Amino acid sequence: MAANGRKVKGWRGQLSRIAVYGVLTVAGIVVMIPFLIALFGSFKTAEDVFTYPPRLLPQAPATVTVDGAELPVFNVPVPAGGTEQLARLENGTSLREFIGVEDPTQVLVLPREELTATGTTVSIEGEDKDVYVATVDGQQVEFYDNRSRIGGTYIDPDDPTAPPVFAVASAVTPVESVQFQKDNYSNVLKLNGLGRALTNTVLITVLVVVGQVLTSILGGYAFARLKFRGRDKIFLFYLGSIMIPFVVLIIPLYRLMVEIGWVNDLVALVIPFAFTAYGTFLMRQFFVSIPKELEEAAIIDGASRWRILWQIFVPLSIPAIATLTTFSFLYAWNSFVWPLIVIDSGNQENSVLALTLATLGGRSADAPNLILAGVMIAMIPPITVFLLAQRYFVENVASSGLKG
Amino acid sequence: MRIRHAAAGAIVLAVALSACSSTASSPTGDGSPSVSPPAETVDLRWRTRPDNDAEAAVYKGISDKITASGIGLNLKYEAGNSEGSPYQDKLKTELGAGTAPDVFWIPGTDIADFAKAGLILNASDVSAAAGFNAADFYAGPMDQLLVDPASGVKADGFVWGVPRDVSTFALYLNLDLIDKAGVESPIELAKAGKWDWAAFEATAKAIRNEGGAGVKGFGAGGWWANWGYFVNSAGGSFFKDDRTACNLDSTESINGIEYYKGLYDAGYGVPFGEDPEPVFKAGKLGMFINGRWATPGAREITDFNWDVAPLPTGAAPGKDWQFWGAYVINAKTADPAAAWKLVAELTSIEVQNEISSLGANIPSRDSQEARDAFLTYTPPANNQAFLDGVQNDPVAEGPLWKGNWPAFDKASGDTVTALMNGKITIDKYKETICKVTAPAFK
Amino acid sequence: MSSAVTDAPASRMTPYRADDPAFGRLVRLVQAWHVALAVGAIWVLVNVSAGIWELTSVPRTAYGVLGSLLLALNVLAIFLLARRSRSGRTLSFLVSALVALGCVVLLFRSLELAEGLDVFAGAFERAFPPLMLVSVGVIWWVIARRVRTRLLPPGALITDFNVNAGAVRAANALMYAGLAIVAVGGAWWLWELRLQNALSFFWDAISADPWGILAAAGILALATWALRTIISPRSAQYFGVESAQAEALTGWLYLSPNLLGFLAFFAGPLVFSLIISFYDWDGLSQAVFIGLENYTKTLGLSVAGSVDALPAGYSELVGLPLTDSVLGASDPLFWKSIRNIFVFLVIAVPLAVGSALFLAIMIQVGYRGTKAYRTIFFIPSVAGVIGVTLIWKQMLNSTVGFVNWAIGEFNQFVNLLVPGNPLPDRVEFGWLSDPTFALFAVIIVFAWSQFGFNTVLFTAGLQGISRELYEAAELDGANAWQAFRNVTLPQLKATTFFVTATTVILALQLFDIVYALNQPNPVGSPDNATLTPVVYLYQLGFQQSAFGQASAVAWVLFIIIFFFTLAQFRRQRADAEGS
Repeated sequence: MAANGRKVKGWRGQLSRIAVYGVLTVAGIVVMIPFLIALFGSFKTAEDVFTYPPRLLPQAPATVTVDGAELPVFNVPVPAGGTEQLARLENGTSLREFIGVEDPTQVLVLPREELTATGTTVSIEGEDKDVYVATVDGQQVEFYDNRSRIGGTYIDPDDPTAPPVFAVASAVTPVESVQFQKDNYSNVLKLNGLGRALTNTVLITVLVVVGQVLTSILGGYAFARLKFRGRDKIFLFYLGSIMIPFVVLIIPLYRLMVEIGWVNDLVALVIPFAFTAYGTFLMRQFFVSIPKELEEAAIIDGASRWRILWQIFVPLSIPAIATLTTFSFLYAWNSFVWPLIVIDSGNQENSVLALTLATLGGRSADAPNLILAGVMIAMIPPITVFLLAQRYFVENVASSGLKG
Repeated sequence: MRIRHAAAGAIVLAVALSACSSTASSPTGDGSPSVSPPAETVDLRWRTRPDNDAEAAVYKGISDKITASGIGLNLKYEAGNSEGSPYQDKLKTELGAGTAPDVFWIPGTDIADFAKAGLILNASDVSAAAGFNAADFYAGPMDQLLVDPASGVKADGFVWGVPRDVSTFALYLNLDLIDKAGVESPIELAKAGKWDWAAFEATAKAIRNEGGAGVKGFGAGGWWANWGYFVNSAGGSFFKDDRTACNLDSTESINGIEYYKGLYDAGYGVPFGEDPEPVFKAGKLGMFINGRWATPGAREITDFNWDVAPLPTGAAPGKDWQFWGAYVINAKTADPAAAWKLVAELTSIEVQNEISSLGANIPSRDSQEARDAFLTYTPPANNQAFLDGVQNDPVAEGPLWKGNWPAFDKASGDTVTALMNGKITIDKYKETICKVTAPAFK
Repeated sequence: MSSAVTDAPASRMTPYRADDPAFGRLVRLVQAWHVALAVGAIWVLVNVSAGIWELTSVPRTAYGVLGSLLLALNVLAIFLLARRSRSGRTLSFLVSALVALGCVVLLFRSLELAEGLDVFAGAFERAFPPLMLVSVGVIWWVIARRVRTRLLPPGALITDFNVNAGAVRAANALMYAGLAIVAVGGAWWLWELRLQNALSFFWDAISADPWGILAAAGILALATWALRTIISPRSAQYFGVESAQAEALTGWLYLSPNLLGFLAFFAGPLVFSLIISFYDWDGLSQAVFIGLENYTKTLGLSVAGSVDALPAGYSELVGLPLTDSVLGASDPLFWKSIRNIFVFLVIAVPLAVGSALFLAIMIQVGYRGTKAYRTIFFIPSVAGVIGVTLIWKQMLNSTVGFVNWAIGEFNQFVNLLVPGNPLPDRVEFGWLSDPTFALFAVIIVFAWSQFGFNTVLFTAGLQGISRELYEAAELDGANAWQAFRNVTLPQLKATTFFVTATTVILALQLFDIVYALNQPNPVGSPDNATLTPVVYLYQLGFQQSAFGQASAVAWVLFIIIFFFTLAQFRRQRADAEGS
């Protein structure tokens, strides 16, 4: 295969082209399938999520309106033979299983009232069973009442007054069609305060991004362009701190929040994360690359450092700021461990999306279709931001290789 | 220009300095015993873990109603929303941090750990003053709520809380699947006295075999009470009689767990540890062991017919669980009497009935009135199955006053998980189960 | 002001102090400010020492020390400012900055901004729909602007012959329409926010302590003024600070928000974490110093002839093969977590790195459109780990999940080819409930969500390989495989190392995926099969309140991670020096 980045010509080239596209497409499908399953799953009914074999497209029982009531439609075996599409009027009808006295292969499953009691009994395997009479094919046939069964009452939607048909659940199959349950999205927002968690996440993300960008610009500028004693040593500390995993800080930072009294407050999700060593580093690296002449000219013109920073450096650094914004956004939007620790389980007012979703995912009482809708709501913003900013983002990851 | 600046600055400075006294002196204001306002209304926060959002709304309503009733309480309700152990863990962290509510609900198994750690208040005095009568509630919970932590036995002068409600297991049935399997309904079998372990196994097998693709005979959660029922029902038990040592390796206990493992090994069940509730709701599960708390979810089912039956009878009849949780008072609450008043309000017959009518709970008050009311909260039609479970020689869920329940729960749960998934044999299980749980009794 | 620049250059020995009587008067005011602060400090000291304020011992000492320090620094500042000393300028800056910081903290508390944010979040929720309208307007505007830029490139004029003037005007109109939407949405948003509620919130906070808040605000304003005065360029000239150092104070000022946050929320907690790892502390009672016990308890291992011969407190970890002895540990759960993470690393990292390398090479071949795949592969790593995990949780469901279904379908396909139907048509692996599979479920989710990130890193590495190397190889008659073997792989060594190290570092901190997959069961279940070091740390700290040992585990984990980080840094440096 052409691993050296050069395309091979001829039939081998065709083959290698097919192979490359094939491999990449398979990998692309592997990536996309879970998203598609989630997307379609979020439009399913709860029952539909649990059908086996699993289906991709959301399907739901077809319904028909009879006398103002919306009834589900089933394929129901009818006495005349064959099946018809009938509407289920009632589920949970008490039925009896009647077996022919003469011919035990003749079986009727009907409510008891549909037959006429004879008052006599017949002994089947030592048990006395009541005998009933029913009309089958115009003939009076004797049946005995064997056992209770449960089923539904079905009517013809075109002729609701015709005699209903009775059938047990296992004898009928629902008539299904592809339907998107759009209500899932509005329903999940009401669940467990998810709507509030969504707006909280937006608010927190905006504040964290603004905070990180501001402190990073100021700090990066100080590191890049303002000389003071100890500056480079502090910068080394900053660099070193990028190496420290957050897990080391979880416990002391939590105790700090306890001491300040920020446990359970949104501010605990904002202030400690408005500072970023990585962002400061990023901005500093960018500012260092800006030619010195630009600012020297401005100083001679009497511009203050403040004006130089905001009127010269910042406009020139839009790519770096965009990268930092994207990183901060993804970090703040997706952060989970810290909210899990610092926000109480009972606090629906100050929860964030990732936390509420994780809780919902563990509540078996909540239907997975709604959870998938919640997941889609949580995923769409970061994916959109990534797609919009990928020009900056992918290039920066590729060049600096720092993990977000 | 500059003079104006300076003058303005001087004025502000003067104002600032004179005002500084009030900022700087504020720390003293907090510390000194200022005259507290006459105790007209007391602000209290309280928390329970509701089983669903509808219940959370009702609790909130009850909370507001009590506030509005003018008995001197100004309440704020918080819905604890994590299922399982995270609820208690979180509470402990909050109690440590001093941010926990004044009154909160905890499961019965955790009472001892909270009490022994000094996290909850012994309400003996305030409850006596308010005329509390422990006999109004089922004995199972009360036996554990009036314990002296030092001796580990019931003693006068200790009231750790009041049970919010009780619950018990029943079998949620998919009647359509049972009908399809061509077997008699467990409800009928139970009435005829034929609903035993063999019948349970046969029914599970028939449902699995006849139900079609993906249908399972039975399902149960992976946590202690599920396998625990079969241990108890076989005549075994978790603990020796004085609850100071493990009894999971007795012959009867082993019989129970071995039978239970056999059901899974035969493939009748939703795989051990998987959540069966969604499978049941999707109409793919014939019999589902779960508590009363699953009823509101079941009521949303429209696609199949369902009801409940009692659990199958083993060598020892009855032995269903009597689950409970209690309202307890934060040891650091500012006003214990007010907190008790809230506990009493929350466990009144009216509140219990209001909550129970939602379907997830059974009143913890041991009274015929409460039971009669409970029977009307249908569906399911066969509510009697729950009352039988609560009353028919139940095993009360309980804490370990002479041990550590979370440690016992974790160690036994891990070993049972290993057994059920074939990581260890039943012999190895018998050999190790009481060794791994031994540290819980230290 | 700029006259100084044209004056004689400052000498190193005797700093040149600009003759600036006007600024001298300003400095006098700054001195007055320090006098006022000193008076305030004296007042605090008098109140504390005379016992007018009833304080317990610790705050009493703190107030005393702070008051004395403030007094001493201010007196020194007044004196040094009078001498036009450079250090006086620095000291004045320091004092003013500290006072300003104190006022900010005080205002933050008095105005109840922490609670205020929670209250605002409520208003923010109510006012969310208009905000959506605003964002629609912004997107509209951005798109319209892009269209316009395309129609009218920068520098082009609307009158140019190749510019479609009508289309440009239409785009302009669209831009204005977008702005109008933003304006309408913004106004509606402000209305829905009910700012009067915010006002009443602040009014309540202010009326609780009006003079205190006013004082703090006033002092803050004065401190800001003093700061601005003292760091101005004129001040540098007045105090004779060399131009090279004139900006030092500005530098500190700009760095300070960042640095303070760094100290308060990173460095401080880090030190605290190290300290409490030597204590036995449950967060409630008094911490007890126990030396290295948390570490020895966590790491303790012992080999003995039999289980019973292990030291007290040790339990069997594993029987050693080929010998009769057993390995015991004082904390078997910690070692279980290490074992789990080791298995995880050995499988998940090659999966996440190997597939990325392979796919990067595919992309690098350079057929049209293949770069788009890079973006697609990247999506899982930005989509949010909780959401991704919940999707997989659904797919890994043992009875109705897609994964088991797909395995069953695959088995059926194999059965078609192989006689005797050796494989089951349907499997029900308990990905989430069976200890045998649970860790693999975590591995699948991790590798799936990480490989796209690594692919991007590899494509960058591949782009860095010089074409000439391949041309040289081709001249030598190397075929594609040989070129890959002898050029691509060696050249990609540094990238591979970097990717592997970063993936390992990330994997060592595994927690979120495990948590979300385990819910509602205890995190780490089943049977501790997914117990990772961070999960164990979480259990210790937040379930068992063993903060001391949890911190010790954190530091042990840090040392392991640090080892990989260091290796990576060394490697990078070696590469940088080598090239």
